[in-house]
Amino acid sequence: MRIGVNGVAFSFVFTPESRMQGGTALDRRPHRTARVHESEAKEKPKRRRGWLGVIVATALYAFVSSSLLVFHGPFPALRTYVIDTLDETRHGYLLRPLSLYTLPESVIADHALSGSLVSDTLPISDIVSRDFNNADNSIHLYTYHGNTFTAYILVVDNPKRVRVAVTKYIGQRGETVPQLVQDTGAVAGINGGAFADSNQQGTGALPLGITMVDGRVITGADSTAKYPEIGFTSGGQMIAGDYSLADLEKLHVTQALSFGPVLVLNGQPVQVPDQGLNPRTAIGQTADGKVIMVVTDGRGQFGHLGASMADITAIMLQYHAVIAADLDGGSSTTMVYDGRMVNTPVDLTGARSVATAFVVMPN
Amino acid sequence: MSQVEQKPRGRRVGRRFLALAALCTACESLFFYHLNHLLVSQQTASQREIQAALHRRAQLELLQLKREYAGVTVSPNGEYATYVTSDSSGWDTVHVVQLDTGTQVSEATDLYPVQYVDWLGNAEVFVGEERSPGNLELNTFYVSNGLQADETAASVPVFSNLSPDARIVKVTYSTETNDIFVLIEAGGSSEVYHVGTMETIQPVTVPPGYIKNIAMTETGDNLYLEINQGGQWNVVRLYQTPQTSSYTPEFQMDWQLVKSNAALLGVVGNTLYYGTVNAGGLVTAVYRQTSGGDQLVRQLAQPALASEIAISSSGSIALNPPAMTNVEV
Repeated sequence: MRIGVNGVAFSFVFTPESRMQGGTALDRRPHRTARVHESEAKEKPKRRRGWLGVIVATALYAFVSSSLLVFHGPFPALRTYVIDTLDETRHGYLLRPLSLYTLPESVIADHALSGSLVSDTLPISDIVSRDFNNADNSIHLYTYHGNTFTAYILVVDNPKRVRVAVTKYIGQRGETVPQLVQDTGAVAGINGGAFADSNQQGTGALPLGITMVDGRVITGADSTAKYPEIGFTSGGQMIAGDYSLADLEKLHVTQALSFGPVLVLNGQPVQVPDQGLNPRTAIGQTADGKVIMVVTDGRGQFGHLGASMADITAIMLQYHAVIAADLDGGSSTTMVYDGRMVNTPVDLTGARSVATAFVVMPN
Repeated sequence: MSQVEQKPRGRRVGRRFLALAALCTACESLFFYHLNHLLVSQQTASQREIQAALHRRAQLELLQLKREYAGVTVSPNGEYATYVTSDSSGWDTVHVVQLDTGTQVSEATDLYPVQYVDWLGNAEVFVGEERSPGNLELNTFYVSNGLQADETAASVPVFSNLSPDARIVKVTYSTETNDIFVLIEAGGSSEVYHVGTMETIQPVTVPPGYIKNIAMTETGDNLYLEINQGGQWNVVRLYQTPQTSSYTPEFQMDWQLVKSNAALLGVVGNTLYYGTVNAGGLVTAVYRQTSGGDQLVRQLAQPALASEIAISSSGSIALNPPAMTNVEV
């Protein structure tokens, strides 16, 4: 009877042995209940395994379906974006496995990043030398919101305030843009040109191409080859294109670093290969000498994918650039103004060390 | 029995997988659609901005040209502009520049004093020259290389023995029939001439009155005039009938009043655009004449001179554009 009173409670303590000792019909109740719970206990790992299997299978399915949808689905802009962005970030080797080896090599080759950074160049004989003596000394900072990026645009009215800054640890490591701005006593700056490292760690030890600061040749002093150069003459005129040291000296260029491609020439957009969306840095100049410095976010920062070359070209034309060129982008993209970082560099650790920067000197 | 138990569990797992896969596909598709849409809209916005910037630059270039030179016109597609310069020996040159870049595409040199410049499509330019007072020449040249018709063709139409103050004020043509009609102002009156395919010139029979403007339909069926009749500006249609002949010394055409108190603004394709004018002779509204009747295109906020209203090849209206496709020099 006691059992009947506390049947349910007893059901958890009954053992098979106690059942074996026989009992009344009331005895069977806990016995039956106990069997059900034992079965559940046995099923739990099975269920877990079942769910695990479903989740693994779904994850596998998600990978395959994503790959098929991205590379072969009805999303051509997304497909181009993925291919170009992986190419530009030097991860093009991932395209074949990510596409489950369905993306033809010919397509990857079509999108492969060109070795040349310069698309168009004005012959030096066609460049009309200008001197921007009467420029204003203002600096204005603007923000532009695109669908896939936010851009910060610094307009420097006096181009003669712009100079190139080079890492003081040249040959060993680079410096961040805030450090370069601080070293030179500048009020603003953006990251600059291409660089290499002896240790392959991307710390900006060695500026590539020809680098000039205040007329001094820092790198490329003995070179005769042409490099993709961006610079300013002693008169404050911006020059961008494929030039040799002799060309730059003939044009009286005093500030120069190496990068490209040229985006705007003679006020015209230059057709450059599509290179996907990324954080970007660029510099341009208006007909009346104003220097336009642009940085954008990207790579998922604030939910933004980044800017394309065409986006930067559009901004430059919107700000009336007659000449503009792309600078080093991605993790290097940094803008400093008035003692603070204007953009948020894409690396988790903040501004990356670079070899060179364009900085704006005080009045 | 164990098979009977296994089957439902397998089905259950399968159903779960299918449900998750379907959910996963739906989420992926939506996400990728969103990304694709973002990318496309950004691309479109950038391209639109580039085009807008180029258009602004072209407009500035046109204004700059107008400040510095005479004979500034813009091609129907808006890509090129012309301007005229004179050298010290009295010869004129018509230059063609690409508006986007401001660079010269070609020039037609050693021209007599240029009176009139107009576009013949986007590839050629009409040039009205004054060989000598009362002797006018209608020349053309190619935009691509500046080669002139008086170099490439056997002859060019010459209008001789006119009043010494004669000027070519308008040229209109049909691309289908190759008929050209030229409006010449001389001695305070106006004359319309027909230029045939062999450069034969015939005066056109027109109703009495001073003619200010002419425009022809693409098919060459109708020639519209803006004519002053009894102190009132009217738009009149000229056309050929079985009773009229072009094999006579005069190019015969019948005429019909289209609209009184109106200004002829232009013809796009075969569609006539005219403006109703107020007592001051200014256009107050722009209409388009279609087979279904006259349609109001735009009521002008401020009355404007007909010469300041441009109708583009797509039929859109521009008030005070930086340049027209034709100009008197």
